[in-house]
Amino acid sequence: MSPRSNENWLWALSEQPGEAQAEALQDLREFLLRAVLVYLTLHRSDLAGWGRQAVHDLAEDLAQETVLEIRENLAGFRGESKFTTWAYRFIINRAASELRRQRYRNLSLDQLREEEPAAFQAALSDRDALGRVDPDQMVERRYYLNLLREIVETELNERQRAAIVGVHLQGRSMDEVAAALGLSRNALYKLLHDARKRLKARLAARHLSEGDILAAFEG
Amino acid sequence: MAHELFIKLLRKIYATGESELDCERVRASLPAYVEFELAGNDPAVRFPQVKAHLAQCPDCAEEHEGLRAVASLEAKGALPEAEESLKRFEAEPVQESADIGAVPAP
Repeated sequence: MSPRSNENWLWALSEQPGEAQAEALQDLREFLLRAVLVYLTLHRSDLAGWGRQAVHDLAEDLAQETVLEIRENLAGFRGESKFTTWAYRFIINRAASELRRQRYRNLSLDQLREEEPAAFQAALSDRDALGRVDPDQMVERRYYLNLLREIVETELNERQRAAIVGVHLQGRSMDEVAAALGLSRNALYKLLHDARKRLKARLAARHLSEGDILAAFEG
Repeated sequence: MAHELFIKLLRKIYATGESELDCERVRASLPAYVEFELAGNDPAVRFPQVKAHLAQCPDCAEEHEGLRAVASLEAKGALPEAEESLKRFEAEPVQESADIGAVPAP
């Protein structure tokens, strides 16, 4: 494959069906395949038990689907990066979503609701990693922990709490929590953003800065 | 560990902006962001809102890392052939440390 300029990629892929377009499509498929295999190799731990053939088939499917997606979105390429870098983001998005689907299985809003008390209990505990309580800092820390717990409980609605628990406290993926809440990833981000803004405003209303609170925990 | 979670949550709360980019717009900006970053620039200068989003959104952050690894290899002319990558799935035990193309965080 000889290197192509952005203009050459656009020209060849937009051409009428023929030799130039077929060659460009073949090159694009090949680049996408190489890119996605790098990504899958970096995430081999998510593919434990997958043999070479299964990985090859997954990569081929992802490359094929992405070629179609790119052809539909060619008009969206504005030349702000190399064409190939632009193209790789589509296949990496698909591959990342696929691997996340492999990791999670049917999380539900009910499950997040049930896990909420324990998740907050763990995050807002007044004990350190070894289960110890430092008497010198205990009072101040407990005050801040209880304050945040109270603000979360009184200011956030059920879905906002579930989103905070799933994404920020349990470390689940956005895709997984979005699916549990019946939302798109974009809508979940907005839900979380609104929740964080609300928590930030309530802390500001009490004239508490980040530094004030962290000082009690990092001393 | 318990306090780490609390501190991480607290940092995310205080880092919250009045308006933030959504995932779709961040994904669209990632190619230019990654190339800017790989050229040795601080993305906070040109893409402050994208950088802020990546600190809040684990899925976009994961895709950013992946794109950066691939673009970095390509920039060095070292993007492996498909066959070369596939060989790594031939009866090789999974090792956390045996990665390729990992790019240290800036």
